[in-house]
This record gives sequence, C-alpha cells and structure tokens, in this order.
Amino acid sequence: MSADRARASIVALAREKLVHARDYARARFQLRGAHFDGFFRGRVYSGGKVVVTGASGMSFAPRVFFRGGMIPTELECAPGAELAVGADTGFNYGVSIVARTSVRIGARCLFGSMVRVSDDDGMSSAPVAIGDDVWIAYGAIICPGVVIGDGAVVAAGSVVTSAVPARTLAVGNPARCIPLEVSARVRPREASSL
Amino acid sequence: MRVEGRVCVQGAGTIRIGAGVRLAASVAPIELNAGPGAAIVIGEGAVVEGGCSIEALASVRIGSGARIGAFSKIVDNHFHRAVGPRSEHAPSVPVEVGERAVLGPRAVLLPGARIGARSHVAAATVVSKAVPEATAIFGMPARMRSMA
Repeated sequence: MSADRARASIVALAREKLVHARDYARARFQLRGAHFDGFFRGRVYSGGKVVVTGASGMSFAPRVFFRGGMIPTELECAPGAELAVGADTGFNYGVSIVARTSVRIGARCLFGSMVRVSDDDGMSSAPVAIGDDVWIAYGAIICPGVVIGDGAVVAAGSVVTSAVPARTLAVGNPARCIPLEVSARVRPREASSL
Repeated sequence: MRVEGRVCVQGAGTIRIGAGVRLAASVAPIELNAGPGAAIVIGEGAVVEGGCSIEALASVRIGSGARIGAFSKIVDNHFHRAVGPRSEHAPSVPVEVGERAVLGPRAVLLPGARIGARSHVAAATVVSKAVPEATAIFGMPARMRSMA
C-alpha cells in the first residue's frame, strides 16, 4: 500500500473515531439521567437533536443510535414509567416515543423517520411491548397496548391498534396482518399500501 | 424559485429544480436527499409544502405544476428488506408524480408509485403502484375512483 493511501485511510479512520466520539458525547448529554449498561460497554450514539423528558425512567442497552435529521426525536417518560430500549436498535429523525406506564423495545429494531409510539393516547392507557428485529417503517403509529412480535414489519403509514404476531407484516389503518413470507411472495390487490 | 424556511439538501446525487418552484418550508423543513447517481427532478411551478421528505437512490420526478402536501414522504427505495437481512437494500424503483397532480398532507409514495397527471392522492394515503390520470386515490388500503 502506498504511503498516500495509508495516510488517507488513517485519516479516514481518525475522522470516523472522532465522529463516534462526538455522537457518543452528544447521546450521553441528551440522555443524561438515563440508565446505561456502563460507560464503555453502554455506548449509545446520537446524530442529531433528541428532546428528552424524564430520563430517569429510561434505560438504553449498548449501541442504540439516533440518526439526526430535520425534525428532532422526542423521548418522554412520565414519573414512575419505564422506557427500555434493546441493543443495536436505531431511530431515524422525528420519532416520538411517549411512555406513561411502560414502553419496551427489543434489540436490533429499526424505527423509520416520523414514527410515533405511545402507551397513552388520552383514551386508553396500556403498556407497549415491541420485540426483537422489528422494522417499523416511515410514519407508522403504534397505539397503546400493542404487542409486536419478533421479526415483524410495520408498513409505512400504518396505524397499529392491536397485537402483531411474530414475523408478520402489519399494513393499513387499522393495521391488518399478513405473514411476512406470504407478503414477499404474493402482492394481493388489497396490499397496495406496501 | 422561491424558498421559504429551511431546506435540507443531502447526498451526492443531482437535484434539478425548475423555474417558479416554491419550497414552502417555513413551518417545518423540507428534506431533499439524492443518493450517489440518483436524480430528484422538480418540474416548473411545482409547490412542495413544509415537512416533506424526498429521498432518491435512483430517480424521483415531480411534474410541473404538481403540489406535494405537508409532511409527505416520497422514496424510491425501501432502504431495508422485510424478508432477509434487514440492512440489505432492495432494488430502487423510480417514482413519478404527474403534471398538476396533488398530494394531500402526509401522503406516502413508496418505490414504484406513479401518479398520473391531474390525479389526487388523499391525505395520509400510501401509494406504491401506478395511478392513472385524473384519478382520486384514498383510503387505507387505497382505493381509486376516476375524477373524469
């Protein structure tokens, strides 16, 4: 490897480390008061503005990350409530998560931009539980009392009002469920929302 | 072209904005994100309202005189796979909005959506297929009705 290429790759690596350090510092500042798995093991990253209320009820597993964007992410946890996020879960910009009782999110989940999750909408109040490996696409809304199984996918723009089984695609308003394998193979008429 | 408010422009691709386009972002920013090799083309006289996000990995074309409602989303790639490794991208499918078409607020155009000229996408409607000209599309799951 030539000296120039070696130098360029060292610079790129250094820049990446600096960005990580900046995003880690930003996350620890924005989420101050929350519970982490430790100073080095519990690394959480934030690439943009995250507005936090009630951090003492929140806990973040390692490598949770928040992508920045044009609209801030909002995390709210009422006194006595809990908001738990599993490892490697990522949130795009504009996500809003509100916990008045309990919101639990599993590992390796993906939250698209502008997704809203709440366990209290003014009419009903019930805990929300999201499993592992769940992908919630752009703009979906998760209503109180919803339980989403592992590996499920919530289609863009859907409003989920009842339980979503594991490895299922939830699509529509209110969301109806289709097994993931079926949705990938067949494109039935009424699944035009995906 | 008239820009009100903040427009967030990202990506290494091309963004082409025609004459007389109005980006009305005074309430919430507009995001234009064209990936490498991608193109976002906004035709003459189109209006894009605040909070909209347009992301292209291949091609997004908005016809002249079209109106994109507030907090809409237009993407030509799902960015993740539903079945298989989550971090893998599916292939992009270009998205097109026809001339003088209207998207209501919070409309979502997914890869493969093609809105015909003078058609109307109702508020909060998710579209992923072709919509003919002068057609209203509404509901979830979406239904179409001719406006002719």
